[in-house]
Amino acid sequence: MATYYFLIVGHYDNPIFEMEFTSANRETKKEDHRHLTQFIAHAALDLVDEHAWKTGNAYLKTVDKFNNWLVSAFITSSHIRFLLVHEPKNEDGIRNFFSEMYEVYIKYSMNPFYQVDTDIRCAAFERKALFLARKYLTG
Amino acid sequence: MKNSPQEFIQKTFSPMVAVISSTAAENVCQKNNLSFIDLLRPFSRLTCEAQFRDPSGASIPVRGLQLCFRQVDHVPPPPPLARRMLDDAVASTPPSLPSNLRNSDDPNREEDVVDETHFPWFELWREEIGFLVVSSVEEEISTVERLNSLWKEVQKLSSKTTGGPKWFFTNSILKYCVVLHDESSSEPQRAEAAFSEVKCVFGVGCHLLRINSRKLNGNANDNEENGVIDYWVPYLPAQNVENAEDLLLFKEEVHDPASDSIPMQKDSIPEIGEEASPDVDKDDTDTSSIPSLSYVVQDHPLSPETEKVSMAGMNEDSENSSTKRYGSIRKNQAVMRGAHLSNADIENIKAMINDFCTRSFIPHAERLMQILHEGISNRKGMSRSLFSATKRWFGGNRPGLQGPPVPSISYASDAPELQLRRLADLCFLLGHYSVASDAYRSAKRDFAADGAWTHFAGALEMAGLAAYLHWNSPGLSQSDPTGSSAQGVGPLGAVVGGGPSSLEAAKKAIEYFDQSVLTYLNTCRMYNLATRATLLASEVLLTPWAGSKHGEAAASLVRLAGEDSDLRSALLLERASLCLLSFRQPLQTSVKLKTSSTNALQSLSPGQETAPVTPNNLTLALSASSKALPRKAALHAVLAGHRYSKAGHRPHALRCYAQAYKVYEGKGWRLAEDHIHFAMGRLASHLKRPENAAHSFSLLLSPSLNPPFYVSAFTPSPTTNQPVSPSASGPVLIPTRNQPPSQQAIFLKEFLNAQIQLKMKDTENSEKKSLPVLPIPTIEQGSVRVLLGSSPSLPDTHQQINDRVQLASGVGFGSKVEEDGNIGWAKLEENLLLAAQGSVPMLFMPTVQLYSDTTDNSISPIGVMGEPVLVQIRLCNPLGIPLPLSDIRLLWMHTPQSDSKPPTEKSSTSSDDNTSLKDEGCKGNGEGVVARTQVLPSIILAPTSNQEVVLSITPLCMGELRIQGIAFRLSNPTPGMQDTSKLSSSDSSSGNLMVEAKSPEKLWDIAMSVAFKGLPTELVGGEIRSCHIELRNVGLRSLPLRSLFVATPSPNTFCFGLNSSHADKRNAVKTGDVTLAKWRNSPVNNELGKDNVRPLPPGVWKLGTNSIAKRDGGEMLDKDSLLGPGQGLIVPMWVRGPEGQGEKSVSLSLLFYYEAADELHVGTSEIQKGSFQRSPRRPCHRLVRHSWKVEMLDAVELRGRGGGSIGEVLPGCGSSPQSLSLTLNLKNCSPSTVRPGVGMVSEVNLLRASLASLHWAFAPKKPILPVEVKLGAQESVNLLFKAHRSEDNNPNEESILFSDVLLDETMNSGVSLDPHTQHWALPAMPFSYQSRIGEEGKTGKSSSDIGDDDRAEEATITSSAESSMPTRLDATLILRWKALVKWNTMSDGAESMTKEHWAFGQHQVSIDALSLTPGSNHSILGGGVSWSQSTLHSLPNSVSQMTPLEVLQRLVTHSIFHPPRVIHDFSHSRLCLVPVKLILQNCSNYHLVVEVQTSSLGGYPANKNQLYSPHPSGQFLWVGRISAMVNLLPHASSQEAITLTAAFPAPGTYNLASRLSVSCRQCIDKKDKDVMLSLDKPNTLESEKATLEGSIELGSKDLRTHLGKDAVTQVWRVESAVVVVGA
Repeated sequence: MATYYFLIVGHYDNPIFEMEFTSANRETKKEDHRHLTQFIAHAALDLVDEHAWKTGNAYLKTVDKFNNWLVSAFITSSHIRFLLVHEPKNEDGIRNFFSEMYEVYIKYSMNPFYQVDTDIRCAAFERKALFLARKYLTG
Repeated sequence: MKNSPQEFIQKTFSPMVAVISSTAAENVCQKNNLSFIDLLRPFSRLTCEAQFRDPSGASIPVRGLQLCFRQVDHVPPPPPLARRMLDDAVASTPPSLPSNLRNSDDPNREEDVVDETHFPWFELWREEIGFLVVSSVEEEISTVERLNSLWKEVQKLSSKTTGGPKWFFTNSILKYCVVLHDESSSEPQRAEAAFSEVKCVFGVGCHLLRINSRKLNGNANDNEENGVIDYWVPYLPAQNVENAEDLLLFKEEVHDPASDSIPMQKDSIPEIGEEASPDVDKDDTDTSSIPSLSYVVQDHPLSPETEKVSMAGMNEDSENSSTKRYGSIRKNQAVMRGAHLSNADIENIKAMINDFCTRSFIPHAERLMQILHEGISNRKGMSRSLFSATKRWFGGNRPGLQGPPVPSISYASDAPELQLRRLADLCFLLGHYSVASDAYRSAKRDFAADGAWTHFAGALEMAGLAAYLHWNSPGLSQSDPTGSSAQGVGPLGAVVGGGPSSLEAAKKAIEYFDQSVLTYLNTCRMYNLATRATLLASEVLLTPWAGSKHGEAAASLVRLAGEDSDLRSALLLERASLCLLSFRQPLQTSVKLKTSSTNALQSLSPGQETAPVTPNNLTLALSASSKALPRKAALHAVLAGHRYSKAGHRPHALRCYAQAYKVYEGKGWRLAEDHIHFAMGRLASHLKRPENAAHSFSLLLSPSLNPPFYVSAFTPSPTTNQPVSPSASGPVLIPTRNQPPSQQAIFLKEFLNAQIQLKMKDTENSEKKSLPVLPIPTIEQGSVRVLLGSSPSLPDTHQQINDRVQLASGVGFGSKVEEDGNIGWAKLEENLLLAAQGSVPMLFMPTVQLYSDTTDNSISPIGVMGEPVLVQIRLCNPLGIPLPLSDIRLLWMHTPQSDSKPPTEKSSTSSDDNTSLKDEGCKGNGEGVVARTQVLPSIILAPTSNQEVVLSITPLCMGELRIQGIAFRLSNPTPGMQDTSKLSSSDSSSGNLMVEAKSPEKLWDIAMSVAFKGLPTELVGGEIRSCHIELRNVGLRSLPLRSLFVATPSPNTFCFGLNSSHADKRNAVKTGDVTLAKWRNSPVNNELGKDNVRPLPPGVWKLGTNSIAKRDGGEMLDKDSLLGPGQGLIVPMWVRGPEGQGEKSVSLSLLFYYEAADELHVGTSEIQKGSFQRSPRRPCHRLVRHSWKVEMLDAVELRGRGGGSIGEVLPGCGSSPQSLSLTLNLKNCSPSTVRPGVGMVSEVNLLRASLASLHWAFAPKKPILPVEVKLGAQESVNLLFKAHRSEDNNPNEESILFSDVLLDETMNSGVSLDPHTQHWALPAMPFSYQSRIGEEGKTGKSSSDIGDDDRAEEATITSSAESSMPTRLDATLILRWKALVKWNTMSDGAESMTKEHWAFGQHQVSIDALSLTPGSNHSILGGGVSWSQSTLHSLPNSVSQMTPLEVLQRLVTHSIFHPPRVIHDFSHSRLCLVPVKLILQNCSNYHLVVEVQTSSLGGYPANKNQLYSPHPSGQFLWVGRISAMVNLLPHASSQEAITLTAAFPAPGTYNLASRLSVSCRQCIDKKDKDVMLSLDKPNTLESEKATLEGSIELGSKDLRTHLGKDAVTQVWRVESAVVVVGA
């Protein structure tokens, strides 16, 4: 199942943006799994923090694994964490997705009306995320 | 007391001693309510020093050897039983769930873990090393015989194939005989005798134990009084629990169903492959047999020591409390243990244990060790057998890999392969860990070579443990302190002596553990053993010695959490979670997991005082290395909770979830939170904890009530320490629940169930019923509005039609506050108060009827008994499902007034369920007595929507009424759920909802209803419509009303029925076409003179007294102008459409005032006086508002201009030659087409013109007009009226001349044109009514400012000169018209209906000064000047005394008489002399001195460049008399004409005025100096020159008169030109 669950986590472990990407051909049949992905992503934060100090790279690759779910992470220089819960391995795609998403996020955070660590509610941001996901992940 | 992991391991792997006791001995023990084993249990520790020699001869000290005693015939329970017992064990340690699940420090939380850490210590040391045979002195047969028979029993047991005890070393069984002596029941001599007999038979291995020496006083309390410690408290909390715990030990070994068939011993530790051999006797020459213990008995899991060993983050307090609790439990059972034991007995027991260890057990072990060592040494030469070598070659598959279970080789119990292992075990037991570790390792190699994987794994496990114990043994740490410190530091700090080796060993040990577990798991498929190994390994991993590898420990635990057993998995997962939580503190040398994990917990709980973790680099760096992994732990806790609930252990599941929630709380992981809440709610409801369930579910449903904690970090605190108000964070941050609606429906259902449960529980428990607070629907903050004193029937403005009687709109929820501000009700009220009471209270508080979040709510509103208090609440449904609410009502609390009644509070909050609401609610709760609430039957809140609800409550008693919230029932919207649950909610979150309504005083029981008949809703600007107001006294207490006043912000729009006595019909004279009448300024019969003295503020009318209002029966109002109870009053009212509004809707407002005419009023005023003493303000008046919208259409525009002239004395106009030309321009400026929603005026007809003035009246000549004036859209007409001054030189100041001329020929003057007007002067006159007309000497008197704003404005200018404005005309020209109005009603259909009707209206122009052109913009009356300005001008002003120039310009008018055309023969005479007569007229009220000057100079120079000059020439000279000085009395003309002569040199047209100037000034002797008018320069109207063609005005600067500086040079336009024609 090519489902990706993307999450941006703020400094206080608060999710500030979450989105789910599913391949077009698959319908979301599993509403009940959504909380599980949150659990997994949240638990992975521990390891993300740990990995963040072991490497200088922003892209932390796969940091955690829970059953068949993998958690890839990306950490910005301001310590905003991007998480991606996914099943299939797609390292390059995820890397690209993260870095481009980083750019999008940077642009968004430059908005003087945006306060860091608050929820991102922006249709354009979502569209962009969706586009990038289609480009690198599900597509 | 502190137990480190090594002690813990030692204890769990302590040597087992089988016990068999005779019945008599047991009986002796039972006196203490203890079995013999239990008796020994607290003391089963070696307390003295001992030592043994290892095979190499070195002496090894043994310290603190722990023994375990066990019944010899102990049989492990069958698997199902064992499983059940595990269940019981877990269940029997219920976590005492705090009522608030968020409380983290659950003291029992760790006990499970303790259970778990301990349960699988099985069969490693299943061999009983020693054997205690216990007998009593009290035997019937001799003690020796008894002992022998017991021994036989043991042998019999051993001979059984299964289930019997397994001996460690079959060949030599240690036997130790104990003779129990009951001091209380037999003599010591007999015991001594028996013992000596036994000693003879059995040799050294005997002991005489004396117990029960305490004399029982029959009182159990002695026990405590004498300070005897109950040693069994930690060990035996409760008998059943203990059993369960014991059985628990075996659970795992029998767990795997696959291994059920084979004897469990077989798949366990290698040594014990076989049953004990029966030939014990033969081998043992000594009769002493050495049974080997087969089962390891652990310490009781609930002992504090073991708790400490576990990773528990418990603090001492909780331990103590738990211990105490168990103690109390035990005591509650009323079982007193050890009641017969004295301290000496205890010492005896200890001594016996020591004796057993040092004299029997250790030597025995030493001997065994020697034997084994020898055996091993003998085998050494053989090296490895060929078999094993080949085995290794072929079958050398590595353990730990996944693969089919490899059949394990099992050895016979006495197989030589096991010798090494046994040696190692013995060393291990005796604490000689280095040897043990070596031995295990070599044994492991052997087993691996043989492919005996089970044995291999076991050896690995033990090797790891031995290594650990070796490096952490107290001996080592004492001998080598640096090494110990190195242990503490862990891998990072391992520097000095022994560190490296310790490190290596640790690494190795971890490897061993890992391999062992993997072998157990994958190769042997022995999950139980794997579990045990894992638990031990995790224990070791957590120690600093192993590097505090919490993550790895947790991972190893999680690995074991398979699918097979939910409970085991749950325990493991929870344990893993705890491992992740605890973290190492690098600087601590000793293991202080307890404190560290508490710290971890503290750092976890965000609600605590600790500042939110700031993500700076330092903390992050720390977190990378040593921080706990709370988020991982939370995940595992959730998983554990899930497994617990699957296994049916709901309390534990609930606890796990609650623990996990602390991590997730408030961070915005909504789905996760929802899941946890849902699970917690369900669990709690199953556990019959409806409070918790309800709490969880309510959290689930509510949009997060408390904003995330990090919000407070963002909001900059407002400098002080004021708490951040919740509203500051705002609803913006409240995330909407993003669960799908179906899920929300499930949540709601569960929530309702929980609430029902809760309610049932509540009703069972207590009589106090409190309503639950429901999270949904939410009440929007700030949306709550409270309306007081609304009209009884809710006005619905939509349904009103013009014809119908319409109640005063009052104050409704629809009225907006901003609108109120525009209307200015407060100001109106102030005016009304001023009018009615003569003064405004010092602290004027306007009456507020509608309270909202923008009003001043600091004073509790005052309601009226019997009048409903309406509360409007906006309910918000954040969910995606509809919410059906029913029986919505207000919750209130009533406190009677303290002085009248005892303060018993009654409230409606307790009326919970249906019955109590209906029955008790009426009686007990005061419903219907104290107050009456209106119940809204039902509404359905649509998904994610708002709905406004209006609820009402009617107070019926005096007192303080507090509205606390709303109650409603929430039922389940899903169709499947039919049972509507009866729920209620009180919302106290909104402070606004707390409205204190004081019930009123008697004075307040007055009420007046105001109804309107025929109020217009659409008006043309200037249109006058008549309607009626009906006032009715509807008060409950039948008090008469008085002081009826009405006020409006737009005074020029309304006119209330004035007394017809104003119009003096008798004086009506008809002269020509003009009707003349006098209009009295004040009523003729002034019966209420006092009232009249008080000037009414602008826009305030008094009703009833001097009006033509009538009562129902037609009678007039009382003399006191009281409106009796039940009486009504009909007042006519005219509404005039405000002008200048354009096409828009205008809001018109009226405010009625009334007060009770009662003696009570006196009291009230006293109270008002006393208001300085802060007594409650008691309003004594009430108000009724009415405000409605009128669609306006501005259609008619009128401009006017007046000019004076002196003409011939017209016939019938008296003697005065003064006349006035009034120029009017009337325009129909309505749009030319009908547009939707906007009307048009297609035709305007002039009806009549009226002039109201003190002195002026229309000239009796009919104005020249077209026959019919019909103005279409955008057409205009000019009218010229001529007025003359009335001859009445001494006009009655109270009456105004009113002249009226009919303009429409078709109309008969006798016919009332407007059906609404009763008198032809009504209402035209009041609308144009100007108080200042004829007000000379009367300024500041009554109604000085009623009138038009514009006029009021002008009045300030003109009247400022203290009536010194002599030029004022003070005339108002009223033009009345009728217009055909087409209104395009906005209909829904495609075709819009066009309505036509004739509208009657009037416009008026006030003409104040002669030379003014009032027809400019501001003559359009009713302009958009707001009323507040007019009140400004109502003040007696001090505008500059300087009179403006333009007003003075017409001080003097003139008439010039000369022949218009002179024919002169210039050849005859070079000059043409023309006589000119000048008559001057003083139009002012002042005595003037006028100087006429002619000038020989000046004039316009002839324009040489032009052939033709368009201007009349000024090239002439005055000859003869060239100046004159004339005294002019007021309104007088010069007595005789001033004769001047002009000399013209040539034919042409000359302007006579060009060399004529008139200066005037007031006569000084008549007026004061300061009234002197001065003017610095004459007005030169140069600018007008171009525009005024044909006439020349000359401003002659050079004409200085001798009138002085204060003279005014008057230059006027002379239209008089003389034409000189040459003959």
